[in-house]
Amino acid sequence: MATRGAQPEPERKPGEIEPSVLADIGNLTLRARVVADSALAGMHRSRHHGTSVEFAEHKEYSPGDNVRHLDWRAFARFDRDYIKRFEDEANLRALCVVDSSGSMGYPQEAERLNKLAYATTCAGALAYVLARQGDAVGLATFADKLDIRVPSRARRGHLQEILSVLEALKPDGPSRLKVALDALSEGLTRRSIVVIFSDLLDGGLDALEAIARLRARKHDVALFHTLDPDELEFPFEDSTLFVSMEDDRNVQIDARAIRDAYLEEVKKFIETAESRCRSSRVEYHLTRTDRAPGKMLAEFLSRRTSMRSLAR
Amino acid sequence: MSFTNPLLLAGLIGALLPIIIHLIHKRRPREQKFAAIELVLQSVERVERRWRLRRIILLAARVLLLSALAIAAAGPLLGGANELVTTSSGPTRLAIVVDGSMSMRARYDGVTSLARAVTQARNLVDAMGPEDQALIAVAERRPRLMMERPTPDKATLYRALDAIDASYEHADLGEAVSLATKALGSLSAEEAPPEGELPKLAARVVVLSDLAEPAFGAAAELAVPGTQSAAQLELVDVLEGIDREQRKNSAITNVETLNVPGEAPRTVEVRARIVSHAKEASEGPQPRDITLRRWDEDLVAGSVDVVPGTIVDKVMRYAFPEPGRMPVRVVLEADALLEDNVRYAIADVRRQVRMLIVDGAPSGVPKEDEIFYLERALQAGASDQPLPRVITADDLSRADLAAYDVVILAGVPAFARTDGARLADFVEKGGGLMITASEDLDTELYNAELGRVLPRPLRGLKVVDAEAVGSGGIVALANPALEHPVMEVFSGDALGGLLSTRTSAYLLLQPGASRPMQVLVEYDDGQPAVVEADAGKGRVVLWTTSIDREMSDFAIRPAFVPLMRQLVLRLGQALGRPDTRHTLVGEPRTINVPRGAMALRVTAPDGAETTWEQSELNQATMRFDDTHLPGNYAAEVSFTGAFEPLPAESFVANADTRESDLRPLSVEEATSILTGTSEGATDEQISALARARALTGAMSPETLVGLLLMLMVLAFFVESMITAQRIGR
Repeated sequence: MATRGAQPEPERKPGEIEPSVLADIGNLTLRARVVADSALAGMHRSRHHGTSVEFAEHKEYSPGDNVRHLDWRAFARFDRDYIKRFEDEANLRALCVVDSSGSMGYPQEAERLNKLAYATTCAGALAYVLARQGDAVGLATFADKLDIRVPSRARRGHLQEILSVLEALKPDGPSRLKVALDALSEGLTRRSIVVIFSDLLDGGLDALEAIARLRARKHDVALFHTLDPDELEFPFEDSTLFVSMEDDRNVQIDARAIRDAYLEEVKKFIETAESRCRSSRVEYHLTRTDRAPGKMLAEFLSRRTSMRSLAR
Repeated sequence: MSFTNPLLLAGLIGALLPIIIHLIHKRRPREQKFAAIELVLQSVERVERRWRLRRIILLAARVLLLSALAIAAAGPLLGGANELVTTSSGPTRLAIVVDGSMSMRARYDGVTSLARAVTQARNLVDAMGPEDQALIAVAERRPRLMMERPTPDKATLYRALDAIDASYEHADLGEAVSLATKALGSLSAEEAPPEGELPKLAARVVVLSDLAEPAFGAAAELAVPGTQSAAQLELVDVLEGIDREQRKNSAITNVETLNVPGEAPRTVEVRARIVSHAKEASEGPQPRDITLRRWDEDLVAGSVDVVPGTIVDKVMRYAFPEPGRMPVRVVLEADALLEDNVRYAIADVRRQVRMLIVDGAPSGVPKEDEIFYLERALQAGASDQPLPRVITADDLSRADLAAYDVVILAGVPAFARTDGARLADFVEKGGGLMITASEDLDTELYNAELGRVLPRPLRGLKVVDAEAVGSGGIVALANPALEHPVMEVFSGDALGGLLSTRTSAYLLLQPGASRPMQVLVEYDDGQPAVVEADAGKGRVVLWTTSIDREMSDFAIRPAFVPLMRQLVLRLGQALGRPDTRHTLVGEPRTINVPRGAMALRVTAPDGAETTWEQSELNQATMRFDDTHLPGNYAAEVSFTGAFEPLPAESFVANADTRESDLRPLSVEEATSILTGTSEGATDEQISALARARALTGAMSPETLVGLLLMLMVLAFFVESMITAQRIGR
């Protein structure tokens, strides 16, 4: 029987929601919202407007506004200063890509969040945050191929559509991240932030080339390498028949006998993924599913905000 | 391999337990759906070879452990029982010949060669198959069988082996092998073939020996009588692996004891001969301690330089406080073979003879004195003897005869009749009396008073007729009894000095054999010159002519001095006859039975007594066979019921030093001697030898069980190591 090694209890800040608690929240929409709220707690919330050509509305000028956006025609007609504001194109475009292959269904125990549930929670929360900010957010899911694609939009009701797709997502089929990303890359014409949630198992490292190609197309790519603690620590003992979750492969082995070798393989696997991401300037996050998703999301958003302010 | 308890081999089934456990364990894995199956497979691939090897070792260790336990419990008997089966068409008849010669008593690394031989013989018995039969023979001076015929009963064989002890004797292995081969043909009634048919036997003779050269003399008869078969001879060197340098040996091969005249009284010279059996001149002289001992007392302690490969004599002298036959032994510093470093001997310490000389014709002119020449002869170089007391016949009656050992009536014509009786009593109680003649000797008085002790009655004086043809008025001496102790000194040229004596007159003796007497020498006319006879416990010597120059010129002859001294010592019972009979252990010894003895007893060095009662003492000599140990054998005689020492018949037995040369032959050389083939051993024989070595070198059951237990411990250790490594992850 698999037993978990004694893990130190992660230090939690007030307001952080533990994965075990999230697992009890069956509704993804609520779960995402809880996570998003916890991630945004304490963060300065502001809407940012872009500078696209798609006009959205007028706003009365106030000191500090960019005079370049003064609508001279409205001034001529109404003798008042109005500033032109543009549609979401002027804001962030984001696309959440979620791996729904069979391997993401681990663990299968009801009391623990499996990797897919963790990924959909994070993706939903991220979508929630972005939608609240008025940013355009879309969704793509894949297993052996790109399954569903919800284009990135910032309109009302779009968030619910994304959450519905995520809610209905089930782990199944083999993982072909490379094929999916290549397909996605073909259809993704506008520069976007692509946030990928995957365990990269079963040939996932090959997909890093596709991720690199996304980056080469000037997309901003972040990879959430989602792994269960069991996969990182291999707490199994005795003779065990390990059965693949995606195909019919299996192996019977004395788990203790290969534990050292497995841990070395995992370390090498993670190091390879991180190394390739770094060389492709892809943002890499090793994501343990026993870690509070809100905290993970907060760190990500904080990092993105910081990068943006630096860019300005 | 055979087993003491083959049924316990069922325990080998236990060796299946690890396999069963392994299979059970293998069939019940826990199923675990796992996402990172790819990583698991890579891990398995990485460790699989190491892991598989370890698992096999673990499995083998467990199987080995249980197998060893079962085999150990079954009592394995390694050593080629299978070989016996495969090399013979049927049951084998095995003769184990153990070299029991003295050389097998040599110790190397604290273990005797015989003990090694017995151990190897036990291995041979261990290796016997259920239908094999064996017998055991011991090579000694007379080879002996420990059982009449071959037996399959191992317990009997073990008991026989335990009963073997190395002898102190020389053995001929050829004789022992012949005896053993002959016994192999002894068939029981059930085994006897139909009449006229000769059976075929798979017969083997295994000789366990140190291969010391002296034991290999003659070829052995290897044809098994009553069969069509010849025994296959196999020699085993029980000292294989022992450095030849350790087999150098020194031995005392002979010890002689001599009374030394001219020294302090009772001085005995002991001459020990030491032989070093080693390669000649390989080393320089080696000092060795040597000691002359009597009982537990060191009489003389010294050192002798022994040069390897040479012979050296060591002389030691010791003045004993008392006369008599003293058992002594010479002890050489210890080496591999202790038994030949001790040599026993009897020192016949000469007693001091107290003499009373009755001068029959004293004279103021020394040369005219009757005893002038006698006195000088007795004093010449005789510092070990006291000076005689000289009296005249008149003083004889006042002399205390009990204070003397020997009385010499030197030409005494007559004496008081009372003195005659005293002299006769003196003789019968053990005294010695010598009577010499004179022209005026009263033969009637002598016959009357001393008749009971005289060898013959005296008849009268004979003066050689000067007119007789060819005599010239003199007679010479002739026909000396050289075998007599007194006459033994006259050998070679010395005899001429005796026989050339010229005598002109002498006493005639009455003819007839009234009592036993011995003529030591006679005149050339056939009349006795010197006669001796025992009388009671004493002895009388009659010198039929004068000891001055009155009747003979013998007094001025060279033979006079030694003959007189010998006669006096003889009469004083101080003339120890050198005992030339050297008795070796195992050889019979002839015991001379004293006249009138009622019982005779011989006590061996270990206290064992052999007694002959009067009814058995019907011969002059008895044969004593039980000389099984080296040392002193004390003889005692009983005349009246109580035993008293009989020193003259006490003797020593010594180990046979032919066995002292421990230098070995090669197995091939020894085989060629025993088989009578000068070319050396044949290939077949050499092959048999190799097999015999393998058999006898086989491990004893105890050793084998010990090794199996060690194997189990090792298996436990390996298992523990592997398990510990697994748990430690």
